[in-house]
Amino acid sequence: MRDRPLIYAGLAVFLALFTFPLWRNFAAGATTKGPGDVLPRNAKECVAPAAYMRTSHMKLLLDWRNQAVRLNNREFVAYNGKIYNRSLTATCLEQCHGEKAQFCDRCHNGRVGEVLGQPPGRKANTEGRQMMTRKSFLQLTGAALVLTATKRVVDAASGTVHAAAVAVRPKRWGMAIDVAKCARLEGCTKCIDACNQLHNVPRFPIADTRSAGSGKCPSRMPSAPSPIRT
Amino acid sequence: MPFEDAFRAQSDPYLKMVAEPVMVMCNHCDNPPCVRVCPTQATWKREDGIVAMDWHRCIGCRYCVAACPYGSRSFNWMDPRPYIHNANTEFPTRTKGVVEKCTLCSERLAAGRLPACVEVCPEKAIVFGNLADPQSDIRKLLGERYHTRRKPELGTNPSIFYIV
Repeated sequence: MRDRPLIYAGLAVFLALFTFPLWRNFAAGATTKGPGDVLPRNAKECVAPAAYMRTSHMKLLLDWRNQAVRLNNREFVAYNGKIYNRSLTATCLEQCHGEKAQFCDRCHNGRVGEVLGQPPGRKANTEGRQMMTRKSFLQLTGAALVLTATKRVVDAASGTVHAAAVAVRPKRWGMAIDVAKCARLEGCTKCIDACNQLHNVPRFPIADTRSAGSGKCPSRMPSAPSPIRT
Repeated sequence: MPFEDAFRAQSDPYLKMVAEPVMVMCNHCDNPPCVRVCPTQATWKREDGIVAMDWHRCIGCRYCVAACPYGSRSFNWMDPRPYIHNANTEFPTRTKGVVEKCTLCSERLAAGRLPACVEVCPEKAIVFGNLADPQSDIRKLLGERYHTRRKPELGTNPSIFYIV
């Protein structure tokens, strides 16, 4: 065992690196405190009880986003029966809490682990600071592996059910564009302008291919970013 | 885009509108290649056929840009916000590094309005409706007039029809 000192030194370095997140959390924990509550100016109650909002507001926001964006379900019935629009900007910020910089960014300033979509294993300590314990991390990883495997099996088994569900369909939005009618309006870009204005489509100074007034579109789209969102 | 470019494989030199510009947009395919390649499911097909997009979930890999046979997706190479004039506060702005596409005005449809391009067209050249309903205006129109779709040979089954 001539290399004993080297091996021990290597092990020590490895252990130090491996446990580094724990040390860092420990060292930072003493200095990092939540910045304290900013109470809204004109509202008395929130969409959920204060205790719940303190620990789980990001979970609620994630759920809101999935419901609003994916399922188009914007109506939220609060615990007191009030109905809210599921929207961070339109409901939380505009109606009660004011500026995002004041309300969100003082805690959520891009630090690791404080992004939208925290896994449910997080524990909130008394200061409102959230950390993931090693136990919850291992539990989560294990559960994810088992769930993935189960889903594969279930998907494979239910393949036929899936196909049948797709066949019945109440709605499929479509458009029919009359090319001749469109061509009659020489140089008209009203549809494009209306769309771009409504959806905050930028007009980049380079590769601005819209030739307004000439009635001719460019024959090839450039490979650079184009202002025309098609 | 000129007609002959929009309909490469189907171009007909004797067609009157061969050099005319046609409006091109996301075709909201029934079998969308962009959805198949998206690694984060940031883009998906809604039940009503709209190929929707979640800009928060997009990681900017641009697979969908490569997969779309219609060039209907664009990428924000730089921060778009300084280049938006008269921003509409009702609709979110996007950041650098995400892909954008036509939403078929899903936010207007949810409020019971027609898409903006349909509403604004002075010639009423664009007809919008439910393709699954045989009694809808669009189905009646498609039943009467000769129409085509862009790159039908790819099997993407677009929801945007062109009456020629």
